[in-house]
Amino acid sequence: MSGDVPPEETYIRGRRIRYVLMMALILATAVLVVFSFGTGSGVISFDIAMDVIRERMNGNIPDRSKDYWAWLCDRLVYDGTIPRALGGVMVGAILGISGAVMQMCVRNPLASPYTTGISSAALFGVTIHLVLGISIIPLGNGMDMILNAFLFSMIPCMLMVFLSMKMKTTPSMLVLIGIGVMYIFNAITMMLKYGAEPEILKQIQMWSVGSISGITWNDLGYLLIATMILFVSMMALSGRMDALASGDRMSQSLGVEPVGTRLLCMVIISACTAVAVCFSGSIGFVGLVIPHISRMLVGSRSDMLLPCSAILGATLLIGADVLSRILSTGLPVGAVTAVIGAPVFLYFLVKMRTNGWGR
Amino acid sequence: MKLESNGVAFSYPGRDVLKDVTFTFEGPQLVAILGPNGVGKSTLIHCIDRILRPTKGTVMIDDRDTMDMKMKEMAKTVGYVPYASSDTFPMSVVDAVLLGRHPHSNWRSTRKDVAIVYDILKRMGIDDLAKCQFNELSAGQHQKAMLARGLVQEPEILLLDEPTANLDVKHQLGVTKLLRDLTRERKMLTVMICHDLNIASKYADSIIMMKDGTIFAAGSAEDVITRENIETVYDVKCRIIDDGGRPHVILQDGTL
Repeated sequence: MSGDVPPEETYIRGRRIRYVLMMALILATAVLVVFSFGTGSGVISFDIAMDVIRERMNGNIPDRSKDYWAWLCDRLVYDGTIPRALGGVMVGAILGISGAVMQMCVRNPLASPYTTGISSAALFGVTIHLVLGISIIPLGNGMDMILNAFLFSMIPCMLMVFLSMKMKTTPSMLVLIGIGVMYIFNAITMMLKYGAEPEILKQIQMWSVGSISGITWNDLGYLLIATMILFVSMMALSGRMDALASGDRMSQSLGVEPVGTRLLCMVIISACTAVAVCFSGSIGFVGLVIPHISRMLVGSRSDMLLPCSAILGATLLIGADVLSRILSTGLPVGAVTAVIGAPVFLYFLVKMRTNGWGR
Repeated sequence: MKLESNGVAFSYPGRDVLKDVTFTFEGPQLVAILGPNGVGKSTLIHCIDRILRPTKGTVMIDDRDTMDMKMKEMAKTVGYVPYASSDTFPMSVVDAVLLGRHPHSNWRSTRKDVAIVYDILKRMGIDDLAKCQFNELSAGQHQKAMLARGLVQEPEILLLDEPTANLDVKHQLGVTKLLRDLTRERKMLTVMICHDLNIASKYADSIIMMKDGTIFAAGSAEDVITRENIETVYDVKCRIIDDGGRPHVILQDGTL
C-alpha cells in the first residue's frame, strides 16, 4: 500500500496514468498517419510525400503541363494517401466507439457495430445498385451508391425503433433482431450475386471486405461530422451507459431508464456506423476486438473506455492499412484487420487470463 | 421519511403475485420481510422501487405517489440492491461500487465520490479488495460489494434483496448489525428480505411476514415471530425461546 496517501488520490493517479497512456497512443497513431502519407503505389516515398505537403502549404498547386512528375506525386499524395489516412482514422474511431457502446448496450461481449445488421443492409444497397442499377435517390454521380448504402443501413435501425415501441425489448432481443435482418439481406444479396458479371462481383466483394482506398476529401466532411456527433453524444451518455451495463434493474434504480437509453444509443451508433460503412464498406473486427483490448488497457468504465476505443480503433485501422499497402497495393484493409485483429485478440485473452479485462 | 403501500397488487399474465399489500413504516428503522419462497417478497420490493408497476394500489413516499416522482429523484430517495448482479464486463470493485454514486455525480466521478466509496468499503471490511475484479470475488465478497454500492447511493430508503444470503454466520451477523447501525446513523428506512428468522428477530425493528402474496403478520419481533405464525406460514414445527428479550426460533421438523 502507498503509505499515507489517501486511497482516492491513488485512484485519481491511476486515472491520470490512463490518460497518459491514451496520449501516447494518440501520438503513435499520428506517427503512423504521417508515415502512411508516403506509403503505397510504388512511386511515392516519405520524402516525396513531405515535398508535396510542403508545396501545398506554400500554396503551390502543381501544373500537369509544366511538371508532370510533381503533378502525379501531388495527385497520389494530396488526393490519395492523405484523405485515405484521415478517413481511416475517423472510420476506425467510429467503429471502435460504436463497438464499445454496442457491447455495453446489449451487455454482450460478442456484439459489434454490425450486430444490428447494418453492414449486410448496406451491402444489399450496394449490390442492387451494381447488379440491377437501382438508385433510391438517383443523382447520376458516384454518390448514388453511397446513398443506397446509407438508406438501406438505416432499415435495421428503424426496425429496432419500431419494435421497441411496440414491445419491451430486451438486450438479447435486439441482438436477435439484428441477426434476423442480417440473414434476410445476406440471402437476397447472395441471390443477386448469382449470375452477376465477374467485374461487378469483384466490386461487391471488395465492398464486403472493406477498404479505405477510395476515400476522398469530399467524404472526409461527412466522416468528420459523424465522428464528432458520435464522440460527443456518447461521452455525454457515458455515465448512463455504465449504469445500463450493470443490468436493467440496477440501471433503473440508479435513475437511468434502460429501454429508452439503450434505444437512443443504438440509433446514434447505427447512423454513425452507417456513414462509416458507406465510405469504407464493412471493415470487420475493429468494432469487435478494439473495445476488448481497450478494456484490458483502461478498464470498463465508459468515460475511459470510449476515448480509448476511438484511439485504438484508429491505430489499428491505419496500421492495418499501411501494412496492406506494404504487402500489396490492392489488398483491402478489411482483410488485414481480420488477419491481425483475431490473433491479437486471442493473444490478449490468453495473456491477460489471470486478471481478465481491465484493472 | 414515511413509506406507505396502499393495497398494492401485482400480477404477471395469468398469475397473481401480490394481493392487497398495505403497510406504513415511518422513521429510521430496519424492516425485515419474511416469508417462504415465491411468496412475492422480491416483487414487493420491485414495486416499491418502481422497477415493476403495481397493477393496483399505490406506493407513497412522504405522502407522494412514487409514480409521480422523476427517475433521478427516485434514485436519490430509494436505493435497491438486487440478489445478484448481472455485470457483463469486468470492473474493479471501486469502479463497480462507484456506480452507486451515479444519481449524485456528474458525468465523471469526483474525488469526493471515490472517498465515499473507500469509506464504505472500509466499514464493510472489504477495502483490501478495492482493486480486485468485481466479478472474481467470492459470493460473499461480491454480495458485500453490492451492498456497498447501495450504501454509497445514500438513499433515504434502502431496499435489499437477501443481503446476507451468501454470507457465513460471522458475516451475516456483522452485515446485519452494520445495516442496523447505518440505518440509525443516517436515519434511513432499510427494508430487507431475509430468510433467517433469528437474524431478523435479533436486529430488525419491525418485521413483515408474508403469505400467499399478502401480509400475514406485521409488527415487532415478539408479535410476528411466534410458533403459530411460523407453523402457518412456513409449515414447519418449531419452538420459541427468549433470547435477551427477542424471540429465538429453534426449528424442529418440517416436510416438503
